[in-house]
Amino acid sequence: MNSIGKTTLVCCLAAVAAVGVTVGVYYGVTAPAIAARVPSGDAVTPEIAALFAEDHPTGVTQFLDGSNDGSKALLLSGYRVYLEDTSVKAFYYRCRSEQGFGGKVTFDIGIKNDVVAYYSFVKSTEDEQGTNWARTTKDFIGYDGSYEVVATGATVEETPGAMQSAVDAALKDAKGRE
Amino acid sequence: MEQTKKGFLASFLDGLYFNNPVLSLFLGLTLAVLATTRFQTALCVGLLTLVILFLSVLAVSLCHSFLNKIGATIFAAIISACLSTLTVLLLVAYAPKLIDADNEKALALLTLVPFISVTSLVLVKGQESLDHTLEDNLGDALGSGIGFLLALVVIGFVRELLATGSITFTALDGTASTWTAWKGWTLSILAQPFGGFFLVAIFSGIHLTIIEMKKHKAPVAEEAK
Repeated sequence: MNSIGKTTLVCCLAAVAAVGVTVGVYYGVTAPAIAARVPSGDAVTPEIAALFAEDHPTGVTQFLDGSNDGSKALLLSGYRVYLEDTSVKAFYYRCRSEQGFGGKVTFDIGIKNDVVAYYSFVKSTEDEQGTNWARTTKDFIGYDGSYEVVATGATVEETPGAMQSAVDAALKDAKGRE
Repeated sequence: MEQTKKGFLASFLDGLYFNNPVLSLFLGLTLAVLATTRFQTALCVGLLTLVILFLSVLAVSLCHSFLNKIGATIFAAIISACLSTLTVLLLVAYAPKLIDADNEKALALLTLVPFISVTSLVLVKGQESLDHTLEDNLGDALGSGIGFLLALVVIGFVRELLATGSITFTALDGTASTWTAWKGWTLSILAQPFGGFFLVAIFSGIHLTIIEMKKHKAPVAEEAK
């Protein structure tokens, strides 16, 4: 075989080997690594994106829709939230409290690794004192179900306990999920 | 093909200092200008070029009896293209935050690494490998690679320091830490391509001047004896 023939053959073999190795590394290493980083789930809703803004949520899966379960439902909706940091187990719940002094409070909580990390007031039919407390409170942030959240005042003292029942239900539900 | 022999150490020193790829031969200038905007980028690109150059020259040297001049260039290009593509794939797999396009502190390696495969340094050294023994080729590749790395690191350090007054390091998780040398005045124009060419020219001038001075001193010393 002449020089041009040998050169062409060697270059073709090298090119085939190079493409083979590259494809092998892509499907053997890169593609699985990319797939592991992209969690399954649907698009993040605006409420969840706002609540978990600091954690950059990448996807959600709804597992609970209790909005039609009657007036006693404590958990109106529940979502598994996939965060950029995949080591954190996160959940979103829209909760509705038990009957307080004059009505019920609807609120969102974000749970990270079995602790309430975020709280957001939605609406309330409580009396003015209770509604104001629920609108401004940060007492549920850091709550893990191991103590009692209290507030002092003639009518407002019934609001935290009523809300805490819903938060406890959410924490219990989250602990039972992967 | 007739091969010349210089020896490993002589080839190594030749590539490292006397015929430094950036400062004497002006090979790989595109990479030198683009990668030296940041010290860390220059370090990473220099190290990757060293590895890719060494492996490409080794592959061409081992197959030299099957290759002609054009074939050696194509062969070196195929090997270096494969290696740089593998590097990009591994970066995407294991260090995505380091190269994240949305992070302004991340390194621009996704753009720069493919340039290594077509840089004149790898192609020329690959072609030249046909004319020398394996020992010489490995010495020259190692010397040239380290010489390229050192030139990039020095230029990158000076360029980033003068352009920003600080040196920024980005970790694998994408977080950045900055060492600030001074605050106030900076020569931000050095961050532009002009800065790269300017500093390459300055350092090349210093390097060539030192070599010329040594060349002139040697005969004078011999005459004095």
